Amino acid sequence: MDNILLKQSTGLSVTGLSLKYPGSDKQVLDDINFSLNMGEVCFITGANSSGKSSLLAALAGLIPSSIPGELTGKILLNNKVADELSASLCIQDSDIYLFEEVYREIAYPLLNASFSSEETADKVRVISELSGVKELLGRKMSTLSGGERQKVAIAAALACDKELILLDEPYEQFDPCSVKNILGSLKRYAHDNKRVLIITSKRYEYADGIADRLFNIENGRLTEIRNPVYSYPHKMRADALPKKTAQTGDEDSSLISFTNVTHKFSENSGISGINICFNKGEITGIMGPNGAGKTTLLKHCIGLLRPHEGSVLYSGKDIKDIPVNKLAFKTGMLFQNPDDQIFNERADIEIAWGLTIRGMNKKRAVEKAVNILDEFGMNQIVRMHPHSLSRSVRQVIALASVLVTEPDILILDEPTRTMDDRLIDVTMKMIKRYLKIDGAVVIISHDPSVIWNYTERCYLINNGEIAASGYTESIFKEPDALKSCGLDSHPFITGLL
Amino acid sequence: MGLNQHSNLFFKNNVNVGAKFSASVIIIVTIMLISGWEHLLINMIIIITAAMLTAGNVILKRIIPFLYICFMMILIHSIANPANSTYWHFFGIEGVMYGFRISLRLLAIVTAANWFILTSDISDITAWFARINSDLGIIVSLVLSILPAMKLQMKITMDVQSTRGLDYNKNLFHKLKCYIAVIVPVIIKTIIRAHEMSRLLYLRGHGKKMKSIHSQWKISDYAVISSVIILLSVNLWIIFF
Repeated sequence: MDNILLKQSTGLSVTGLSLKYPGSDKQVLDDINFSLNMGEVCFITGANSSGKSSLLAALAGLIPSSIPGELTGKILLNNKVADELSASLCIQDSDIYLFEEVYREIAYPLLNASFSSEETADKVRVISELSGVKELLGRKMSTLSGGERQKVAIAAALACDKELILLDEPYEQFDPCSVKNILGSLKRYAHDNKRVLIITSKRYEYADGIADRLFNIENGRLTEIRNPVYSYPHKMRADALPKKTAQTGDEDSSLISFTNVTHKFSENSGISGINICFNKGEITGIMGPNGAGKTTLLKHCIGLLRPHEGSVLYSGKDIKDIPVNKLAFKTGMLFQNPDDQIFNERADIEIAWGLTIRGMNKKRAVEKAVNILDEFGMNQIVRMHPHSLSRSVRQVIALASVLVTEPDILILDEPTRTMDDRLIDVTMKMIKRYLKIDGAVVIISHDPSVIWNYTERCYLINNGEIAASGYTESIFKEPDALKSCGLDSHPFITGLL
Repeated sequence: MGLNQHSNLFFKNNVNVGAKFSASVIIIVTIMLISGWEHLLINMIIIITAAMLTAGNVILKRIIPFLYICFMMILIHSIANPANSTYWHFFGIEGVMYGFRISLRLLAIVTAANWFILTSDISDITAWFARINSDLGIIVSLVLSILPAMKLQMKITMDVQSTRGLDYNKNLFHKLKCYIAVIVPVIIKTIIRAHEMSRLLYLRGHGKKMKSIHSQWKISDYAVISSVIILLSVNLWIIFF
């Protein structure tokens, strides 16, 4: 970007910022005070519902103009009152975009700023290179993966060319390599163009070398972390693992096995020649970069995709002719977005629905749903509307609706993506509890700490092929295999190696 | 590449969206003015032939689903039209003719609308509407972006609910119950989406003045408009003289 501010600037100053939403006594933001210089990158970390997104919405001027709320305090940018036109905000949900064409999504803020078509084209080219979406400019948004859409959202936020750039959990769907690249580019951009960049995240693992300032927010209160410790706890592994009940690796122990499975999409993405097995009594992890074919692979376990070549065997029997709803009686699958499935007005009824369509009496099904929420420690949400709850709690409801049916195999596609450490711990304990002796659990995750702490066996996938397989402990000690999948740059792996 | 594909590409690249939109509107107005079924039928044949020559045979695929609706309309009118006085068995001839006229009008409107969509790129359509009025352009763009998103969401939710054990292949009552489990998440996500999109518009500076882009009409644009004006004139002459 060539629009470098030449004047002397003082940056962002926030004084006594407090926020309450209508109809609630809870102080969402509680007397927040901080200041940042132009060109600084700031990370704000915090657990679910700690106030991160509300703080960014307030800084972006969305509260109270677009989101109702009682906001007090002062936000100044370069000694002027900041309004919605001073900041650009990249929202958390990458499913939300304005236009079908990627180019138009990025170009729109520039066209609104009265740039000509030629100037807009030049600027879109520069921004797309910076954000790593240059190859996507000719694509349609609905054809992109979640990670790719998130990159486009960041590009659109940069295209607004504002002095204050706010990114709300911008990299939760990225693979580690993409996170490193984009954070490096954003830091250079903020520094060179004298922008204030604020990034929120649940953890600060990627802030090392990127953040100039680091804050933590808890119950709406902001505190600065002066001496951050950028290391991961690796100690949980021994007690987190499930007990092995079968001799792994032999044919009798495998519950689902893939034999030379190939499934190709029109753009030549997909999977090819996959030979894997998920063993009884084991939790298996699957990792790999964005677009590697992880979800494609797991969709074969429940029949949502069928192999173009090869076969998928369940207890030695080919499942090619078994319909999805029949496979669902043995296999439970959790998808990335809980909103794709939630349709009941109460959490307990939503969880019980899977049982009622299996023929269970509704009263009994609701009782079981209440029990499982109790096990999650969430009995207070039993009668609440799922959409009045946070995204991470909705993900718990979606998971509970799978667990309550007690399937033999659990297929979990990034189950902990929106969760903080506490909720991850609770969730993974529940998953382990519901792992049957002759059942299996398969987890896809971009978070190596989840795979390390909770899985026994692990597969690395890259470009639709198995890059490495084996016991998690040994895989995590193979730098070459991790590097081939771009995982070596994750702070957890770096610390481990 | 066949002749049809060549002509489709020619119309996409060389004819202004405004000319194509105006031509479609004139065709629809012409059809609405005609009342006789023979007159409508001749126009219908001309319109479909012209549409196939310029947009390709794919236009037939778009029209065929409407034939079922047309058949049902004729059937209902033949039985229930209050103007029925002459009967063949229990089908009223007046109702059949009335249903036939409505069907021909419907098919002509569907053909004209599909011809416009098939011969224009979505981005050209939205850019053209934006030139008339920036808000109109945004409305068209957002509608055109939300429709594929809803379609995709429908597919995703059907998949997700089937992995929860939902069977779509039972009786009609069961199917209706199934579709509640699919439609509700789609509607909720669309409402959330619309809400968030309004915030995104705000954040990305919507409402400021965009630079307007003017484009000159070419001979091909005038040729398209002239053809439909001739069609309208001939029809008006037949109707009034």
